[in-house]
Formats: sequence, C-alpha cells, structure tokens
Amino acid sequence: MEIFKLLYANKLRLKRGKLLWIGLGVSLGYNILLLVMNYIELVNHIGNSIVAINWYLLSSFSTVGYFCPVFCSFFIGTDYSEGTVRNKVIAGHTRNNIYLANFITASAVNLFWVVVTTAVTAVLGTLLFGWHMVYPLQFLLQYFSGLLAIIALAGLFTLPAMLIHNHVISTVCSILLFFVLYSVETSVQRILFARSVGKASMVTTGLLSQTVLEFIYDFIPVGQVIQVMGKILHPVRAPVFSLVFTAVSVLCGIAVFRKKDLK
Amino acid sequence: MEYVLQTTALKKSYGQYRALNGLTMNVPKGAIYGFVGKNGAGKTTLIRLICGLQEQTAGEYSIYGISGRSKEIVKARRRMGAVVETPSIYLNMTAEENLKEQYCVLGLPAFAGIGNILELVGLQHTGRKRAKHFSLGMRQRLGIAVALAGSPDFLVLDEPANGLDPQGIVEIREIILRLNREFGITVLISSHILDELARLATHFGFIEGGQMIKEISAEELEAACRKCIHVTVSDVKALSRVMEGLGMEYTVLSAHEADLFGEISATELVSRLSAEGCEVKSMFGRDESLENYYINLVGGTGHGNL
Repeated sequence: MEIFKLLYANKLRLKRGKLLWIGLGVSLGYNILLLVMNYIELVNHIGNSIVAINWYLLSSFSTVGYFCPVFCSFFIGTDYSEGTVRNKVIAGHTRNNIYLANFITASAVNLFWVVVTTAVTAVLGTLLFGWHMVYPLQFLLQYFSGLLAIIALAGLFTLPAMLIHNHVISTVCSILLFFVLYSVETSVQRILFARSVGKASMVTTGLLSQTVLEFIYDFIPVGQVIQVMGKILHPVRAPVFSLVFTAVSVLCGIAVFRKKDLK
Repeated sequence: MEYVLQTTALKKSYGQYRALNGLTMNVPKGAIYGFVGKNGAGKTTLIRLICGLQEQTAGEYSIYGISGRSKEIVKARRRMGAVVETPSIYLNMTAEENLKEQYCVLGLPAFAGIGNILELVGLQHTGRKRAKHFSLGMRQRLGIAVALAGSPDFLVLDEPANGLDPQGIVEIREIILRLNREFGITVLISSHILDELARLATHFGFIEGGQMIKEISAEELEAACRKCIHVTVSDVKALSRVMEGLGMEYTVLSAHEADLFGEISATELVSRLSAEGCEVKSMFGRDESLENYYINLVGGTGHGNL
C-alpha cells in the first residue's frame, strides 16, 4: 500500500532527527526525577509507607501531552518549510495518504514515548519502592484510556501542523492551543470538583450545566489526559470519546487538506 | 508529434486575481521547452497545477495523454520529476540522505543508483556535509537530484538558475543538456535568463498575463529573429533624428548604442550622422537577441525611448 512508503520515509527521518530522542529524554527525565525525589522524601520520612506505583506509571502521559504539539509542529511543519511535501505530491501520493501518514507517525511517536517511559519507570520504580500496584484492573483501564487520549491528542495537533503553511505560525498556534485548552480543562476540573463537594460558588453554579461541563471535560483530549493522571470521570465513556475525537479531527483535517493550495 | 504535456484553456484564479487566463500549450516529447515570461506572468502557477500542488479553476491539462482530472494522473506524475520555485530538500540531511528519503517516498526497493545520480549533478564528494551548509548552486543541484530519483521521463524546472553565479548557471546548463541528450528526458524549464534559455531550449513558449502569446521552435525563432546593425555613437539623439528622417526602424539600447533594422548604406548613415555632429564609434551586424524578440512580442519599451 502507498501509505507504507510514506510511513517508512517518516520513520527514516525520525531516526535521523533529534526530535524523537529529545522527547524521549524529556519524558524519561521527568519520570526519573519524580521517582528519585519521592524516593529521597520516603527515605527521610520516619515510619513505614508503601508506595503505590500506579501514579508513576501514568505520569508519562503528562510530559507526552506537553511535548506532542511541539513534535507535531516541528516534524510535520518541516515538510512545509523545506518544501518536501511537494516531493510527496509529485511522486503521486494522495492528499489523504500524506495526511494520514503524518497523523499515524505523530500517534506512533506519542505511544513510543509513553510505553518506553512506562517500562523504564516500572523497572526503576520497582527497584526503589518495590512493586505495589493498587486496583490493577482500574489501572489497566486508565492506561488504555491514556493511550487512546494521546492518539486523540496527536489527531488534534496534526491539524494545525498540516493546515498552516507557515512553520513558525503553526508552532505558535499549536503551543497556544495547548495552553488555552489546558487552562480551560483545569478550570472545568475545578468547577466539577467544587460542585461535587458542594462548594461551588454562585458564579460557577450558574455558569454552564453539569452535562456541558462534563462533555467538555471528557471530549477534549487535553481533559482526557488530565483525567488519566487523576480520576477518570466516566471510565467507559472516556475511551469512546477519544476514538470519536480522533476520527472527527482526522476526517476534518483530511477534508481541508485535500482542497488546500500548496506552494 | 507526441506531446508530454498539453494544456487547453487552463485557468487559475486566486480570489479576484487571475494567474492563468486560458493558457494553451504543448510540450513535445524529447524537447527542452523554454517557458518565458515576466514576473507574475503565470509560469510558476502552471507548474504548480501540472505537479498536482493546486487545482485548476477551469480548463484541462494532460500529461502523457492522461487528463489532470482523471484518477490515473497519479501514475502519469510518477514519470515526472520537478523542482518548483525552491529545491525541496531536508536541510538537516546530507545529499545522500535526502536521496534515500526520496527513494523511500517513491517506494524504490533499494538505494542502488544514488551514487550515479549524485555524480550526474556533481555532488558525489559532499560526504557528511548537510544540505544547510551547501551553497545555493549545490542546493539547486541537489533539488534536481531528488527530482531525478524516480528516473523520470519528464523534468520540470522552475527558474533553476535563479540566484546562481555564472559558474553555477553553466553547471545547471550542462546537467540539463546531458539529461536531454544522453537520457532523452523531456525538460520544461522556466527562466528569466533569456540568453541562457537561448543556448538551451529547442522550443519556446512565451507567456504574458496568464496566456500563451506564442509557441515556437528554436529553428523558427532563429528564422524569425531579425538581422540588425548594432551601432555605438557619440550622440544617440542625433542618431534618432537621422533614422526618423530616413523613415527606418531602430531601437535605442542606451545613451550611446542602438540597433538599426532594414537595409541601410553605411556610407550614407555615417555621412548623415557626421552632418549632425555625431561620431560613429563602431558598427557591426548581428541577429536580434531572444531578449529583443520577447520584448517586441509582448510590446515592451525600446523604439526611440531612452
């Protein structure tokens, strides 16, 4: 199939570039730092305590979430800034395949970072704290939801990278979009939590209905990643919403990219 | 005659602006087709359309007889290579890595032949040097190498000599001639450097305002280019008065030079100029340049104007 040629070309470019390894370094570095700092705190704490490894294994989703817009805009944006997207079109590849190949590459890189970081964290965490996992089935569901959430995140940030011709503008837009969505989702999280414990203010009570707030929290990939790190509001709905968001973002992106005049 | 590229009343608009306004052209197989036009005439727009980067507003084009609107056009494009505006290369990769990347995009099973392509464009000794450290001429040549990766029959080059020094221009010319003569590749080349095109092209297409003004072969152009007498004088205004008095066509080139057309007696000319107090410094016959032919074709300045 034609798309495999593009995926193989992307893989070759990834291996030669630094972005893949910088992202992995950031993700690993953050997790190792967390483990070490918590280990130091544990050692200094008087008394016994058992450390559940769940949270450490899930923490890689946050760094991948932060790095995803940067990766998408740099890796995919290079094709625009250096004109190499033209080579793919002239070589006879369809717009659909070009878009899909870039989305699949971004998803694969996200998954690679998370899985490798999780594996390293599992080994190091076991060495430091011993293996103690609470609610393993819940953890597995959370981890699976997290994997789908970061694929949805790749779908979200592939959009500006593929549709904005100017590399610098697409990078700025992607990073701004992430921070705006992060602010919105953390605010929604605070409101939902306040309402759940009966501490919602007059303003937040009348702001938006519970259904709308929960939908915003569940549907936007940034909110999904935030939930994976803590508590998933709707454990069955979350992975479904990730899949729906992925499909919608990819289909919309392809539809616009097909009509785009390339220079 | 077999044509590699044919366009029929091709139009492309960007909002209210018409970049192509009913362009009809035919590129014969085996030709080096020189596509001549000023900035904004529509040359790059045409190249973008035939490469599939943009869709036409109206009209048709076909590559190897396959319509641009057909799904089969992707197969026809696999026989093409193109450098559109700037070379499409990864600046963080070496020449060899760029070619390997293009081989992967094309789905070629092995990297055999990369050395030959690099040698063809004169980049075989670049080693580990990344493209961002290349000169402009080297980047242009690498762009051509990437376009050649799929062994195309039809090569499209959009102003390949732009920004190059004289040696760079000669190198590009040598590559194009070799590709055409040794490998039989049809080349469509757009350029502003008319003298360079004149040395290269077997066919010419003159575009103005998004329309084809004239298509002509090199042989026909040679026949059409008029012979003239090139004079260098001390006072070109005096020359103008003499030529107006004789009722003869002339083109002022500078404050001291002009081309004179038609049959004229050198003795009579010199004596009339001498009567006007004008000295004739030099006088020789020559053919009309491609530049003059193009300017006359599109109705540029020149007759009696300084």
